[in-house]
Amino acid sequence: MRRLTTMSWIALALTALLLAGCGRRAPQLFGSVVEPPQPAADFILTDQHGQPFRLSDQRGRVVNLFFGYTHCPDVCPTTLALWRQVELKLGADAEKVRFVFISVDPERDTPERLQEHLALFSPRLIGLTGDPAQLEPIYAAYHVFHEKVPVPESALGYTVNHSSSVYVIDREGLWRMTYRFDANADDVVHDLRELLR
Amino acid sequence: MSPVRAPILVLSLGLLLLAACAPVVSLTPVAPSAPILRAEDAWSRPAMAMAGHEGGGMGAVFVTLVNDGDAPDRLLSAQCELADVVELHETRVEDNVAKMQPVADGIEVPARGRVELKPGGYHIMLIGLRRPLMAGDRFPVVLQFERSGALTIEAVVREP
Repeated sequence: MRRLTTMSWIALALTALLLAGCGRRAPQLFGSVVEPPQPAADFILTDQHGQPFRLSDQRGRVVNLFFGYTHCPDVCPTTLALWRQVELKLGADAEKVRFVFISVDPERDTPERLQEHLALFSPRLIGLTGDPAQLEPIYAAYHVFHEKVPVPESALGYTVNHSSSVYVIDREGLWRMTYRFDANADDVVHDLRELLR
Repeated sequence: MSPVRAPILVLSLGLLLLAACAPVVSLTPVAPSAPILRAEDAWSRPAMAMAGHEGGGMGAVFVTLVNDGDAPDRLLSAQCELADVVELHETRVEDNVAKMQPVADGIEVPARGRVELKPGGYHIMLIGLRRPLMAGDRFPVVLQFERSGALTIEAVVREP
């Protein structure tokens, strides 16, 4: 009997340890989890206000990264509108989160254009563009698909097919998950709060 | 002409006329096989005008088209005085890649059915906005259908 009790204690302690380990290592997230987390490639670009933005300077904050373009009337504004909702729902925690939009259409997306476009959604959004030579290594590092498609029958001239997920980088600079451009705002808020714990 | 044949001729002519009338008469109360369209919840996002920039400002109008009639119809084009060009586009997300392309042969509104123009699907694209679209603004858009002709809707600019 006494032997059994000791065994029980050991089992209980082991279970508690395992549970504690689980809680820290794998929070339940709605987004698609990157397992194991990968170091997010660092980069430096100029933002829409002419200020340098370096990813590694954001340690301590959770970074949401989306690749899009301002001539995109649907998926990109849907993402920006989602970010606006998430930001409002996060309240004071929004200070610990960054929302970063990187152009896949540097030919047309000047910093001025990004500035005016992003301001429609929130003053907190960060818009980055640059020379193709600066941007290409970033697209490659994040496996961002982007393809310029001529559309002669449209006044747009061309569109850009592009990856439509948001990348989430945690406070240690690790790429932890992605979520869809049409994700539910409450789910995203939940996930970002988990990563801020 | 014999006196006997004259009334028969008149009668035949009358019957012919009646026969010709008949379908017209039956059409009047209920028009079979006609689309009856209405629009629900037309909206847009805030957008910039960007005069002087290549392509200008871009906007998109989303709307649900409802057909209460017994025949399908097809949205062929749209006009909006706020934009230089208005096109029908479709966004498709395949393998996580978003693609946008003009709609070649219109958007069908099925009989006794509906079609939703919504983010991630069809939209009416406003290219070269002449003024910005700000939350709360309302503006008309004229939709051109294959069978029903023009339908004017009013889109409201929602908060982002």
